[in-house]
Amino acid sequence: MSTTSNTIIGSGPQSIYASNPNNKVLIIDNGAYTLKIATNNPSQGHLVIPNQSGKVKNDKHSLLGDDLSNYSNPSEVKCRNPMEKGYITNWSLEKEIWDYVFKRDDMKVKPQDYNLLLTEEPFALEEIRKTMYEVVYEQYKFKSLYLTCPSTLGLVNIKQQLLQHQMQQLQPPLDANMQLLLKSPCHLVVDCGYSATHIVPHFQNTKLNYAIKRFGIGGKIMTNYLKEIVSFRYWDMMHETKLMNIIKERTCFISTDFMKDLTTCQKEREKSPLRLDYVLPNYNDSNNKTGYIKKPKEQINSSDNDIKENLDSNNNSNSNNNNEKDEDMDQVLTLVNERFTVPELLFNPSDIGMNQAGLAESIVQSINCTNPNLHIPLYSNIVLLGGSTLFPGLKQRLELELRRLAPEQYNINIFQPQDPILSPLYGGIRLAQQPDYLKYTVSRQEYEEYGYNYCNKKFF
Amino acid sequence: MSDSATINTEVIIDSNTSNITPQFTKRKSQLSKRFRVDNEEDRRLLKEKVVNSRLEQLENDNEQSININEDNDDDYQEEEEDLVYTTPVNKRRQSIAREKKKNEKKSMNLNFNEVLEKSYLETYPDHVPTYISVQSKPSSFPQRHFCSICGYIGSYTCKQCSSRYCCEKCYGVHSETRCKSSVYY
Repeated sequence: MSTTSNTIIGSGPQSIYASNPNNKVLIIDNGAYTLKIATNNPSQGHLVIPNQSGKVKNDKHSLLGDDLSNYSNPSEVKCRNPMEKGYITNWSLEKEIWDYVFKRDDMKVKPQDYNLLLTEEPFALEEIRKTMYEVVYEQYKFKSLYLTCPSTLGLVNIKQQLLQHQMQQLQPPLDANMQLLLKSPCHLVVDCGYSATHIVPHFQNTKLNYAIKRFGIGGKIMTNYLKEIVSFRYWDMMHETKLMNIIKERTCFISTDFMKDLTTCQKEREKSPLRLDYVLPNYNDSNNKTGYIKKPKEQINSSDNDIKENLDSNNNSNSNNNNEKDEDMDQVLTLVNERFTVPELLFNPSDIGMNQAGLAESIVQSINCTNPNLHIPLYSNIVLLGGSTLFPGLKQRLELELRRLAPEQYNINIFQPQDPILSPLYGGIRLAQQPDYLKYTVSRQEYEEYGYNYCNKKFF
Repeated sequence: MSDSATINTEVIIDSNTSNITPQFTKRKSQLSKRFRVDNEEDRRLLKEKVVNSRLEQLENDNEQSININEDNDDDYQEEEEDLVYTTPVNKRRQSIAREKKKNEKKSMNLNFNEVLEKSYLETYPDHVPTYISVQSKPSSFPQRHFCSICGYIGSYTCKQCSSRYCCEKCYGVHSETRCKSSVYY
């Protein structure tokens, strides 16, 4: 088992592509939480906006993009999601959001001039796909479409990043595990998204459809679960989904020994080292719009150096007094076991009654569906993608659990890229910069002639 | 906890002694409301129902139901305005146009569960992977149980609603606020 850190300083895609006006490609990574969009024009940056449309009372216009994420009082906004279970179902809403992006000053995209590269979760139902083709080809009139799975794109990006790193002989040099990842034809991509988690084995950059596994735990369920617990036990947060999402991202972690942590928390709730105070936002104070983690008092008081403490005692006490005055006004949310019981759902969905296996077991189930010859390379080339893999401790826990479940002689190696959220987008840009990109697409003429069955065959 | 136990024994005694003392027959026929769930089957049903509704709640996006109501309110106001300012002919035309718009919108907006039902994925052969067949199978480990109030290990089960609790204090909170004691409502 390897314990070395596999993170590497990632570099965005390089500008290899000489821009050709005929081959303009628009890349959209349509996530359920954020919409990531870029073009293959290297001078144009990428854009990340929430894939939601918000509404405020007494205002008919909906809030989109930056207006939504920077709105002064987020608890007033009622958000609607165009995606359901990771698939686009509400197209009128999705079109509203796309229109907004296309018209933005830093994008300025005319759909008729562009080829579209769109991501889609595996196994979209036929009717959902039909509607998508209709919108893309008939309403937006894109020149062509290439439909692919975000995990494939993410994998492409990571491999090319490593390859570039090796070719340019950057420091630090790749370790043995990364070199293996580069050479191996088999990879297992774990995509922990907002609405579900997918486990997608790949052979030579092609996903193996028969071995894909999916379970319904994603960022959304975890945020809602935390919101529910906190609202019942401490403060009413039922209308503060956005804030709870921020708190989840800042405070939650994955415990390596869940039962032990739980029992220690139960014994001494107040003194537990896992206890954390989160100061809730105060909307009158412009500096404190999302809240922050309060530093424990003991840390300030119990500094090791006695002399220093004596010297600083006057200053400290003054500042402490000031702080305490402020703190009396603040609302504090104390989190103890909530910090690790919430992300624990990823490994044990049965904790909330969901009758599905967790992350480690699903990986084993998925690998067992493949040819036995692929088992060894798949176990040793696991790649983590998606926003929910950013919980601290996820990699260690996954390694521990897989070690228990996998055959003893197999080597387990997990790779965590630096930017698991934007990796698919970068992969898309890299793909679009390839000279033979148009070979993979289905153009509008082809769609009009052969219909959607032809597309389905091409994007299996 | 102790309270419920005593009631339970009383009920049993009632049934045993009903032949001897006719006074108690009245009490026997009227089981306490809190004991509507008195057999395993009902308990299982209730548990399933609670779990499913909870999962649905967790899947829920940001207050969608409220939004729908608001939209309806908007429509209603518009109609009122129409009544004041327009002639009946215009109104009819407008209502037709509005219906058309609604139909268009509907065709673009799918409901995932409906689409899933309509596509009959169960009828596909086993070797074709579909949305349903890729769902991961149940875990081989037993389910762990946590106190529904404080989140620590829940060793005891509520007799009525089969949710878990860890101590008497939590049970008190549970029975006051959360106990859904019947399958039927």
